[in-house]
Amino acid sequence: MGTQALLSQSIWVPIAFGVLVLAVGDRRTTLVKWLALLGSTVTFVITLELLAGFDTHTAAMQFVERVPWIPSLNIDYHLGVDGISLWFVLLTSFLTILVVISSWTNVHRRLAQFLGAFLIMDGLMIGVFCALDAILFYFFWEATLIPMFLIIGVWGGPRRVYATIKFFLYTFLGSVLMLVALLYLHFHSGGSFNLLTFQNTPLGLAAQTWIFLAFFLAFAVKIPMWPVHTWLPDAHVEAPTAGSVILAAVMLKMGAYGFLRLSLPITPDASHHLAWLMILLSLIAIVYIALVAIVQQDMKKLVAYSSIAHMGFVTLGFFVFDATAVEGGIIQMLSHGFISAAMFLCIGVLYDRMHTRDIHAYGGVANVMPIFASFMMLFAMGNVGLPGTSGFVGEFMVVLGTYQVNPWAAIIAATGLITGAGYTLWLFKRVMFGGVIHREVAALTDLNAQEFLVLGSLAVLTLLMGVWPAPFLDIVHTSVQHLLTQVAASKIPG
Amino acid sequence: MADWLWLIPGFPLLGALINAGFGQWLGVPMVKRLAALMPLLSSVVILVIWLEHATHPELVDRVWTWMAVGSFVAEIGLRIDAVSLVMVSIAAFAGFLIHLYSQQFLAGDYGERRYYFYLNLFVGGMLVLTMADNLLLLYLGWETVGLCSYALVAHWYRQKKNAWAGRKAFVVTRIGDTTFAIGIFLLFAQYHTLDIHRLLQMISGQPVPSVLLAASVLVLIGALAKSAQFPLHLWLPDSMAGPSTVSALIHAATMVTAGVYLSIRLLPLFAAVPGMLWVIALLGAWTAFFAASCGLAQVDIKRVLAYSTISQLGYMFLAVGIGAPALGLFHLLVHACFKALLFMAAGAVISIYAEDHDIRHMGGLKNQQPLLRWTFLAGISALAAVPLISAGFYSKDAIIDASWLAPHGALLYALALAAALMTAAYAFRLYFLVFEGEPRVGEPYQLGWGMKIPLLILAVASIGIGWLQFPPGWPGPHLWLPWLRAELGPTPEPSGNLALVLETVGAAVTLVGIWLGYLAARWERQGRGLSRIGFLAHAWYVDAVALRFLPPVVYGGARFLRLGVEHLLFRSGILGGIREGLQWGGVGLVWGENGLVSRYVAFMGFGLLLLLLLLWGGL
Repeated sequence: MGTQALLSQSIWVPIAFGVLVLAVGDRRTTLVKWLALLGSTVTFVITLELLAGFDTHTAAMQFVERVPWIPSLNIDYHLGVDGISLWFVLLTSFLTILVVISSWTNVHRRLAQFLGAFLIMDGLMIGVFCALDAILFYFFWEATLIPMFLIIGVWGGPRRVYATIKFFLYTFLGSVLMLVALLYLHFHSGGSFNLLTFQNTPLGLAAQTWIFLAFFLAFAVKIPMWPVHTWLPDAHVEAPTAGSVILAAVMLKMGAYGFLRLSLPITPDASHHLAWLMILLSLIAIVYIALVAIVQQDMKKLVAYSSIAHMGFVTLGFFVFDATAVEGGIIQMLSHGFISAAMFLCIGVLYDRMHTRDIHAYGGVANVMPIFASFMMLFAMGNVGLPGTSGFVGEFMVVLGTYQVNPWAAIIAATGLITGAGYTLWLFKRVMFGGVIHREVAALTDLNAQEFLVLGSLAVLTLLMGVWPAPFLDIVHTSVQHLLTQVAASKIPG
Repeated sequence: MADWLWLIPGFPLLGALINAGFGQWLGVPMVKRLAALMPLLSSVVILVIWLEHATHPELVDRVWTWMAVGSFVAEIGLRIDAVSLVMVSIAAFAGFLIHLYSQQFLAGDYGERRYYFYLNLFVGGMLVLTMADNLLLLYLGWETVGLCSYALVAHWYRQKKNAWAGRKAFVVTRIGDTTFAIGIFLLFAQYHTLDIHRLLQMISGQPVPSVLLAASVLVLIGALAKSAQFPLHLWLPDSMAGPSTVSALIHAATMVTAGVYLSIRLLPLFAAVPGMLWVIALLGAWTAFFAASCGLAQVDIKRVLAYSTISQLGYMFLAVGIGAPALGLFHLLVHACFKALLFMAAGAVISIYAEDHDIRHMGGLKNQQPLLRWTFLAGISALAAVPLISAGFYSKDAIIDASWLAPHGALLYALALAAALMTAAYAFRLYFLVFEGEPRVGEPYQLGWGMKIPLLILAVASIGIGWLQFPPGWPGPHLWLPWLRAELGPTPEPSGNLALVLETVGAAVTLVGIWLGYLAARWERQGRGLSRIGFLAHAWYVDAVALRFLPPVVYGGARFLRLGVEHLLFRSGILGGIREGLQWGGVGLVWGENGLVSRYVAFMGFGLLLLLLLLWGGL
């Protein structure tokens, strides 16, 4: 381990390919496409090696790399993964392949820059999940904003400027206070920037509370939690399909990952003290957002709102401090990674053909696109949380774990299952069923090879994780146990 | 251990998988044959169990561990005992007959492949549901059949109302599904196991009254919603929008009986709560009565049958509630035979009358379609419980008679008996209107062998299957109740003179009902029939009231949230607040204590403020 520097490879290989793609430029699009595909595939293979070499019996960081970066400030280039972060590294590299393939024929403007941005973002996001140094983490965290900012700003819809600024402001404003908290921890822990050292630094309750709130702002905006969610629907609506996919499937997970890696182990007492708030906000997200989703006219907005509701299950699971719920939350993150990616890709398939996301413009699509309709049915069912799909496993484990601790919260969360069925099926019915009313719909063609490949692989994963989540859970068990013992121990000195 | 049990649900699931993956290349003719073969193969495996283990079936197959975290373990584990053996036999064999019938019935329809995919998936899901040895796997099957019901009700999705009906079915049953799931959580939180056998042992070993009360109510709501019992019956009449074969399989023979099966399976849970069984009995008797009264006034052939299904399911719950689950299961079996038959035959009738469902436009079909007429009559006889010669007499009247023995039995008995009277009336009203009277010529329709065979098999079963269990004290076979005694315990049966009186009253009521049915058909032809009574025709206006009030509340609330809260509060209020807050906060921070950091923050805050102001100006 370590000698191969697999983590560094999985961060810098896609970035190198991204730069290469940018350098080749737009004139040789075929070469660009294949380079991008090659880059993302190589990255995925590297991350698969991580999976193959992963030891599930230890909660310690693995594949650790640590070299001094800015010695005068004690900042290290310090990487490592455990059972909690490993899956997100794989999710990121896998989805980047799908994004490259789905952009294959559908992006006509500045393709090289588009694909380059995604490859660079791939490496940066993997960096977020691997970084063990606070400054490195913050660097990757903020750096991911730039390619996404550009993707929405350059390739976005008509109101893209508004959406990008709103996106940037919210997420940036949120993370500024995180930096303050990290600096405070740096001074308080005796001059270290090691996240693992932070986890062992004793802190009084007041300090923990302030740090928790600073982290909370950063992560809650990213997830996003109610009431700081309003940037997400706008960002999704304006983002190109591939941008929405990465935004929903990976970027939102960074916020939830932050809670697991920073908030819970660094401020365990404050986490317990403020758990009621987190549970309350999660429940509001599940119930309130689901109701808002019911009345949306824009398909992307509807799915964006449903993302917020689904992430509510994740944060709910984390803050009941129960192994089943926390692992359920992690499964829900992965599952949402697949399903939300697939839902946005499905909308992208329609948008590429019809250039509108207004639900009223559709109807009877199942008549002309039967294969597509079958896929979307599956993902809709995953979104509803039907047993047999991955959506069920995550939500079920969260609610079951929550029930042990807080039955009423579990019951309220369970109502999200009904409303989820309501809005997802409403969308599906309005788009797919009925006769063909619009001339444009009659002219639709079914999935092409790339779309079939992308949706098919997500369908397989959704089902596999639904009926056999054991391999996913095996990886996270030990790390979650370790996390829960950390959270259970008080850090208040004296 | 029997590590081949997974084959039973495995075959139909494999069929669905092949259809989804390779159906495009196989072509429709191949796909539909393959689809029909799969439940047949399952039936063969089940037949082996009958031949080898019928006297005391007890087989277990643990396939793999589904999820496990700490004490929470959910296996993919299958179990066959006498009760589930009956259920899987119905699901697989009736499933096969309906697949067979569909070959001709739906030939040339749009979306045939999709139809067979969901039909296979449905049979697989139903088999998982009935064989699951833990509650979570049972829930998986429970939801799978719900999904298939949704998809198949909305099969003819080009008509908006069909898609609407599918969604209504899904959302209404989903209410019950959710309460069922919460009940499972509650039981797990208390007993830390999902395994049904261990759970029931622990419930009787260490009962916690408050938990059991809550759990049994939650699970019961799930069962009532699935089995379309009052007041959660609303979805079933509308779900008749699907093809008749779908109604035969899902809304008669199998899925809707899942709630009855669940209440039989978890009977110790309900029995542990004082009074709960009696409530179930009352709900069942009331639903039987209520739905039968609605059936009297329907003019849509499938809606008559839909209300009759609700009503018959009520009898099954009544049986469970009075401590006679073996009789409930018996009636479930009998009902599966005759109702599947009636729905399939109704499908043929509707095809003959060019998709017209209105029985007032039909008549005299007996000469045109003799086979259809005789098989339909066999099914109608079983539904009406014609004495001695129909299976319904042996199963339904046994329940009605046993209800007399329950606490406050007179009330239950009166409801059940009144329902039986109305059942006989609406059953024969339907028969007389469609098959007797002056002929109304429909389209020529040739039943192929694939349609005749299922009808004949089920017609024979509708007559003969009741002879498994004669009434107490009668000479003849008494096979059913002794076979189930080990699992479900003794069944209360009236004896002596009381039995004789109850049986005679039951038979007399049926005969009076048939006569009333004849009259009702005649009035209907003369244009002054029961269908003119709006109260009955609209099913006591329950659905209308629910639709009038429930959806507007949900949608209105949602619209308020979107326009009121999302737009006003967040767009204007909070964003404006952030702007103000930053202005003042930034000023404050410069004067903050910790020099370096706060200046840094203030700088950033100032930058952000500028950006915000830019944004503000741009809006």
